Amino acid sequence: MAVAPLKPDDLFRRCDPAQFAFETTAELEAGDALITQDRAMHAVRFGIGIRHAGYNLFALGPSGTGKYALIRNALEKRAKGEAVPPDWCYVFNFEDAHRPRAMRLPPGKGAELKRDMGQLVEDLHRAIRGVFESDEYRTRTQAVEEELEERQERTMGEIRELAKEKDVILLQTPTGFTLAPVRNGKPLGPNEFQALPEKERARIEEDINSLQTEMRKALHQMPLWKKHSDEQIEELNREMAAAAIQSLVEALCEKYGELPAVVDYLRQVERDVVDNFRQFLPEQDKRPPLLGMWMPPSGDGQPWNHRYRINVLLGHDKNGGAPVVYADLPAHHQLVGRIEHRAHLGALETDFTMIRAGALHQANGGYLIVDALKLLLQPFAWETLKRLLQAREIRIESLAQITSLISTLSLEPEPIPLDVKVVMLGERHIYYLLYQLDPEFSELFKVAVDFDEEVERGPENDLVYARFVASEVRRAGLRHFDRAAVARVIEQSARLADDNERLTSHMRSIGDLVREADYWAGTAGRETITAADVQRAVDAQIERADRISRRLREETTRGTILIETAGERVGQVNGLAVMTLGGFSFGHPTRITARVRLGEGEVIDIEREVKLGGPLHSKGVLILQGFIAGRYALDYPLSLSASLVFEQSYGGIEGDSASAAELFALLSALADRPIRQSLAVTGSVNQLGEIQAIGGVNEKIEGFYDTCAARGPLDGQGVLIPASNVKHLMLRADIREAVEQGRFGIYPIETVDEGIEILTGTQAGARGSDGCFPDRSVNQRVDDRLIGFSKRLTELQSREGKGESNEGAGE
Amino acid sequence: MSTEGSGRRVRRIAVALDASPHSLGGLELAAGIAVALDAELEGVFVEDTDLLRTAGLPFLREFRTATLCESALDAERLQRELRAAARRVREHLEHSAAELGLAWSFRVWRGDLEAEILGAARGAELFALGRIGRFAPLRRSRSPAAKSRTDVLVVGVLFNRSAAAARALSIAGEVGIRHPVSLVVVLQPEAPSETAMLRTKALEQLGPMRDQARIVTLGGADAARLAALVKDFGIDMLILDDTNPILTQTPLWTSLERLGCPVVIGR
Repeated sequence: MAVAPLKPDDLFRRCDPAQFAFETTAELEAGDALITQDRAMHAVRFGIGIRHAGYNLFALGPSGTGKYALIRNALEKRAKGEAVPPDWCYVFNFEDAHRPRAMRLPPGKGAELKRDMGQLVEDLHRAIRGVFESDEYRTRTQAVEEELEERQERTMGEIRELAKEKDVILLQTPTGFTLAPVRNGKPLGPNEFQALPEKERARIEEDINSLQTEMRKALHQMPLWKKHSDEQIEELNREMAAAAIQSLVEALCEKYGELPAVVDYLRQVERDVVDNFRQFLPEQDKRPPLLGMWMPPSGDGQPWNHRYRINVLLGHDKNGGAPVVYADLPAHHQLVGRIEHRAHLGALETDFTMIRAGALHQANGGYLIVDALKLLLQPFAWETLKRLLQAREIRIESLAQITSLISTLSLEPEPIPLDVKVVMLGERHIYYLLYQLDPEFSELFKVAVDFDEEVERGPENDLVYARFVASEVRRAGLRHFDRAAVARVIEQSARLADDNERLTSHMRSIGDLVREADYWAGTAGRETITAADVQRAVDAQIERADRISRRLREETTRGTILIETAGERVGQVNGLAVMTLGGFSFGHPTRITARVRLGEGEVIDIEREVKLGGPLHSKGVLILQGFIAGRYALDYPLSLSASLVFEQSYGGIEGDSASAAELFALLSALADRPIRQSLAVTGSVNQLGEIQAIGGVNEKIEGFYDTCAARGPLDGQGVLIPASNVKHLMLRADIREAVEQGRFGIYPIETVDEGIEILTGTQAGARGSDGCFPDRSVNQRVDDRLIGFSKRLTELQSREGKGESNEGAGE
Repeated sequence: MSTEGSGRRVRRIAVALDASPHSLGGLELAAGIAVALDAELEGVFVEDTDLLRTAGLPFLREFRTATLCESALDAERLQRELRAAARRVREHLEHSAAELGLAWSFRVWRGDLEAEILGAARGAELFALGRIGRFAPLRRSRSPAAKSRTDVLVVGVLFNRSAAAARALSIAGEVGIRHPVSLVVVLQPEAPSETAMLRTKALEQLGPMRDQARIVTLGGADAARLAALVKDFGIDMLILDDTNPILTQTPLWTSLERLGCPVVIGR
């Protein structure tokens, strides 16, 4: 039964503007305006609802399908109702300055504590100066000092008196003092001494030795007295400092009484202030002079009381809900935070106040969204993320530390417990590669959220689309769309999906179309965007991208690329290929030829032989070899040698969508029946001769149509497509018009026989009960040809066999 | 302030120095007075010849106060050390004078420390003498903030009916005019009946400065009682004339040791 060409209505599924209850998108409430994908959203809800380790999400699907917007929207809705995570602060570790302590505080308390500590430091300056300038302190210290001095002077006075009794005086030397004998109030010189009687000299020497012994004893006591006095002063200092700070710290301890960590910290501060009270005194009292020189304070160093600061790593609004954070640059240090350094006196230095939060800190207690490709491109970022998720704590380490590039002493901040749900966004192949190659991936990302490229087309989703258009209009401040324009957007969406029963979920493309339609409406001076503006935007997109397709078409028209669109040829058929360049896909015809001769049953695919054919293409060729072997000359060995080639093809060929065309060329060559060159063929074939669906059917049809139209008025040209591809048709208006006028035809075929009949105008023929095909049918011709090849081969072989035996007999 | 009894203008202030921090404290005070009185500052470093003379006795030991080490007395070494100390003090004087824009001079006087020191600055109208701290290195530095909350200098002045005492009071008054000082006039009546007269005389001489002066009475010339008074009033510097009985009745060093503050002797 002859296959009828498709009717215009089969070539395009219109979106009826009348189905919309609005005139323009101004009447629509945009709302979230996201094109939801139920299955994906179920997975999202499951993933964010389950609170167990490893149940992180990976949203896979093509970019531009709204994964981020949908997931962010879902996360924010949930996060609003969740508990606000705690504030985290880093504070000075008084026991080990290189390991700053992490302090957990209720939301909002971090900033409050920071303010309070700043005030405390100011108050401490005043209070400590106050007590050390007080009369009480002066009196008490002077009392201690005087006690020491009195003790020293008493001792020295006793020695002086003792010396005086023995006619000896104390004399000062540049660095100390000495004892000297006197007579009449004057010290004795050596001559005067020698002039004394020996007995007297001996007595004086004995007295002085005795006094020197006393002096020695006294002098060695003095450092001990001074030490004791120093201790008394230090004890007094501590007592005064403690008195100054106690009330201030007590007030804070009372305020933060419900937070033991803060109270503990405040107690440490109290002890530290008492130990270092001098730092709160005026500058000249802080530093002991060095070798008599007063050392000025270094101007750009951090003030000493820096250590009492609070580094609020992360503060939250107590009414804000759980955080949802997108890490736009998921580098290692952006994830885990970093420790900054400042240059000081030619060296780099840092402290706990220079610890900065990373995306994981910001998302802790909530959700972190991260782009998989960006994450994988950053050195060590993926390894770091996995390690932290496994360890369930954030440890701030630099890349240099991790890789042991440097081993200088730096800070080791106390790790912070990590409780975050990570959502990675990425293309499917990234998900599958990670799943296959990284054993830890499946442990950490147990929830796959698979986003589809398409959604079901129907009134419900049409309205969702209309809302999406309305939201884009509002977001970008565009003109409103009338309902016909919305319908045209939906039709274009189906075209982008390559399916008249589906709509694309690639929201970025639709968004672009909406904005560009607005531009064209503006150039046309319209207040509201119409279907014509949408069509203009579509045409302009094609026009901007179709340089290569135009060049190919021109070269075809000029005869450089040999394509015939009229007449008949044996063993030659127009195949259709699709090329995708820079996001733009277009179809163009390719001449496929087949040559046959007697052989040993092989079909040579020249593309495969020169390694230009991909595996799917090669598979298609082998399938058609199977088809021929299974259908024709069943009782004879297949004695065919055939070659198939894509003429003027200089690049790789992949896919099996030309396998039907190759088969038709081969059958034409075998049957010696010419094929109409006004037709082109696309479709794959199986071993049973059934024609199977292919991709890019719209582009292929349009490509052949444009080639034919470029050569002049159309006259019965057309394309054979798999019948199963009819539902994918969303063809251009000019093609639909040509079809309606009978100038162009599209033939849906289900079998090889249907196709060969259309192409050759000859009955294909079915094998009868006698096992033979009808006379003069294509199949009968092919069958006969193959049987003929087989017989001829047998004959040749038997002749060769005889020749060999004769030669043997002759011997 | 009345200039009665003030006699002539003070042109030169001599200050006795050794290497101890206390004598350097005396230098600072003398420099301050020199600025106030627009006078020249003269540093006098006294080398004690008694000390050098005793250096030949083999059994004498020198006890060093900083290290508590002992060594035999060696005259040459002592001379070298005295020269080094003098050089250091001279540099300090030069530095202080340059900072304050003072004319200055320096000389080394070799003689009997106690007997000669008053004669060492014969050309000076004022002679400042810091307490030479024999145990200075053992004494603590000041406590963190244990100091006066104001920069007001407490100047004590010994006043009796002598003309020299009137001049000492006049000098104290002049210092008070140019510097924020608190004056403590210490009356030294020869008899209790003289106290009122001295008080009247002092107030009269103080003139407008009487409001910032306190007047106390010291019975007799007891250095110990004067030392207690110095301590009670927190006197930073004591001015007296060279005829004062304190200097004649008690050895100079004993007085200084007891007073515990620098002394300025007017001539």
